[in-house]
Amino acid sequence: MERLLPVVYEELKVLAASYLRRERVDHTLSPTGLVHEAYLKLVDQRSVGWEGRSHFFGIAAQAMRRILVDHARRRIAKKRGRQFQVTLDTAAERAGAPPDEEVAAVDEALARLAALDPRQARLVELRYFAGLSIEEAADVLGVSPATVKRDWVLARAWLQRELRPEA
Amino acid sequence: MSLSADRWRVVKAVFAELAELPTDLRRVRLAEMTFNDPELRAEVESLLAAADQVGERFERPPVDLFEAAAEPVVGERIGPYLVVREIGRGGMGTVFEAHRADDAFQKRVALKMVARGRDSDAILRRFRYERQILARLEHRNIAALLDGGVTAAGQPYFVMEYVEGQRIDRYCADRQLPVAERLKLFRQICAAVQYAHQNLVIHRDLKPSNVLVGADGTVKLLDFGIAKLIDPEAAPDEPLTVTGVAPMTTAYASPEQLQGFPVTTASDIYSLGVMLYQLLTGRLPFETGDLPLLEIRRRMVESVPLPPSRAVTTTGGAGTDPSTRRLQRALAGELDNIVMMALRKEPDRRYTSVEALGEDVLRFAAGLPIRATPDSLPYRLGKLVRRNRVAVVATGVALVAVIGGAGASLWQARTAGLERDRAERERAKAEQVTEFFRNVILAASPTRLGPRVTVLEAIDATIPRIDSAFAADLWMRTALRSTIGSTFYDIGIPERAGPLLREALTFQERLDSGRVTWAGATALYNVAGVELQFGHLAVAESLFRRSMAMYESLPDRDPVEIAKGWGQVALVVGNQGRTAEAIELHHKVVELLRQGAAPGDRGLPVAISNYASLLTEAGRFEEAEPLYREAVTLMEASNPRDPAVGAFLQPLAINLLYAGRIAAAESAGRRSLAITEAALGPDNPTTLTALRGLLNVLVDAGKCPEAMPLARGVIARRGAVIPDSDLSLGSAYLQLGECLVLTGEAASGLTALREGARLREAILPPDHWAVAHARSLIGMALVRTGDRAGGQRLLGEAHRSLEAALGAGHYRTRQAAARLAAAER
Repeated sequence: MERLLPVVYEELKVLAASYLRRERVDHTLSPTGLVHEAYLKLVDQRSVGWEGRSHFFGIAAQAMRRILVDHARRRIAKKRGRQFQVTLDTAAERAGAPPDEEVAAVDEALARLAALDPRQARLVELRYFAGLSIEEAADVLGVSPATVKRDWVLARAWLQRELRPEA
Repeated sequence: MSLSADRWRVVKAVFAELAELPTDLRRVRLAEMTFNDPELRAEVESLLAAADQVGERFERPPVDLFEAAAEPVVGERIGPYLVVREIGRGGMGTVFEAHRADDAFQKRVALKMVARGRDSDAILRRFRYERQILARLEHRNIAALLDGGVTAAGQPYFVMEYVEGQRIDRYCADRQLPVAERLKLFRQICAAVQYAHQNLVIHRDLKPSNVLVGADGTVKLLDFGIAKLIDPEAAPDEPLTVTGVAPMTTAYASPEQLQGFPVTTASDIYSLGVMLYQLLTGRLPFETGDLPLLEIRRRMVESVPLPPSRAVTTTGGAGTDPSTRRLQRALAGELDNIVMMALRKEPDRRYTSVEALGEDVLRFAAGLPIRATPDSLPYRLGKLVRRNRVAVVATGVALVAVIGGAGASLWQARTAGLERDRAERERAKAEQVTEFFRNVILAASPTRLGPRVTVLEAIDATIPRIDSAFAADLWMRTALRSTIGSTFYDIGIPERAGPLLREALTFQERLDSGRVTWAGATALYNVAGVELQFGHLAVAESLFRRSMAMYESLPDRDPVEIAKGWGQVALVVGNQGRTAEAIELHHKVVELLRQGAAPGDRGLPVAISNYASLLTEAGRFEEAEPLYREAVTLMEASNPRDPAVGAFLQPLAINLLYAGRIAAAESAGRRSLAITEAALGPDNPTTLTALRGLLNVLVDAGKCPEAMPLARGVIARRGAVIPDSDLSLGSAYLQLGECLVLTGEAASGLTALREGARLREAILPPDHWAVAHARSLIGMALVRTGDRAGGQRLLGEAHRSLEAALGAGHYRTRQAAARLAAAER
């Protein structure tokens, strides 16, 4: 599996970059779209031995995570030094973390979750980073959709707690 | 965090179970499942709190990473608007100043981008639907909602009138405004909210950051209707009552919002109360601090805040006002009462309208007497017990509700502004009661029979201690008996409730010494409920009627509560077979409640369903069916998994069966059982009633193979779990017996039928149709065991009785006729 990761990673990166160069106004781009597109391309080439779609998705999710996290980290670095924003609402309110910071924080939190519960950490990768559906994620993990649903509720709660908005 | 993977598995299991439960049950289950393990409890609690908070977060991949334009920037166009600058951001989204790109006058607007992860299509659909209503809101104190749309990237936004001003709380603090000025500002808010309510719009997210004050002192409310537009749960066709807690801010949310119950105009009144509290004291009624969200919510739902005058002594009060004592004097008494009335837990006990609240504030400012009155403990306790009693007939209420509820009422007593000495006395008592219950819960041991039983057992074990603990205090002995007794009653153990409630009544009579009091009427009412449970219908009726006479002679009677009480009388009358009289009573009760009951009041659907049951009894199936459906819909609106939904589906199933629609009846019966069993467990009387209904349908649908094991299951629990007085027990024998006879085992069937008939005759009057039905079944069994003559005689008698009770055309009568005809062949 590790052998395949670089191939998928490169392919996804190329796809992502090509999207970034396009006119952005009329395009909404989702990781799900990217992953499915990469799958079609790579499977078409038949250059690597895939053990089916689920296998690919599992690897693609890892790759997407890396791409998205790298991308977010670069943007965070760029943003530093810019003016900070005023918060209107009271501290009691939920503050929505800006997406870049959130992605980076999820990545860090996932490392901790993986130590407790590897399956749950992979689930976050599949759902949050690769945008797979509950059923697709269930396929990849080899468990029932009901189990995935239950795990997903807890995983999101866990992330919410770990990523508590900074005061 | 020092969790191990093993430990995490436990956390996961506990979380998985609790996450499925309604919020109010979670706390008990959590306490039970994590007994003696505070670390585990804290862990699960914080995860549950996070689960409540998380909303849609993480549900979608971080799409906008690839879109540099995810967040509009200055100079960019959003729809026809040109973004000028960012004004602020919060949980719900980011707000920008903008103006129409094609507008020569460059009129400024505020453009609110909704946070990602919400369903854009649904929001937009809702926006289009609501737009006309919201566009109608033209008021000098309301910032108009001008437009709304979706960006090219699919992100919804709203455009509002641009308001230049400062948040009201900061405005007051910065200028150190005196109380009178703060009240003037507050009345402007009231005027705006009142106007919106008259236009059938609820704000649902009232808080200082949504109230701006302009330089000229004019108040503007922002975001009217926005909360509802963005809430995915809100039904678009219900302008006045909607459920869903999605976007509101916890600190200002009403107890019903926190619990996911329907949101009404009363919820806005509560939020206004929180704001008034804050404007007067400089702090929130419930300080959130570092507490876990779950705990904050629990407090907000259960406990009563300090009255404003007391709150200022613990802080600086009203920002930086130096003369705290003066402020305290200004607040004590009437302003306290106004705020506390707006902050009452029960929506129907707050001000009836924002207008009434605003008027009281005005009356206070003008030095006129105000309308708000303080709460009193006996009143609260009586109300609490009685309300639960009314609800329980159809539903059954969980243990916590009562104990937690008692806690709330006692807290209220602590803060009620009664005459000094009485208040002092009651405060001491309230503390004693609280302490007593705390000890009870702490004494509960997890090693006994099981989590749920443990708490009950613990309470049970403390009953003998009541008298020694409060030897000199008759009031306490009475109050504790009444509270514990109602708890047992509400969770369906009338055997344990009975003695306690009877003693409470005896003691109460001594306390009242001939005076008519609320507590006395309630004590009587409670005992009537017990008698009803035991099937002593005539006694129950007379007690109910006596109790109602007392309630009706009280000066502060509440017509809605009294109507509900009469609903009980109607039930008892109906159970005694006086159908016409009962229908009359039920009809009146429903009419009264339709006029007077607050939206979301469970009393109305309960009354409707009871009314419909009587119509079923009278064979008026066509009239009954829409009423059941109305009751189900009303209840589902607040919570589709409420056991009451199941409780209402049961008689609907029977109604459909009698109307000959077996398939529909079966599906209603199955839903009824599924809902009640999930909510209340298999042994609860309401669940058993649902099962009884389903069994009726199954037997008549010829599904004996499925019905028989279910009926045997009920019979197996006779005694320890199901008392002989439970109608469902007799029914189970009859259903099993009928199936046995039909499947060729007439002899054993006859035994079961006889037992069923005996149990029924012990509860019901001899001329009740259900007794005749049982006899008809016995007649059929006799014929099949060879006693042709005896069987035919019984069948004939039963048929005549049924015809007399229900009429010739009734389903049960026709069944009996068919049995008779078959026997004569």
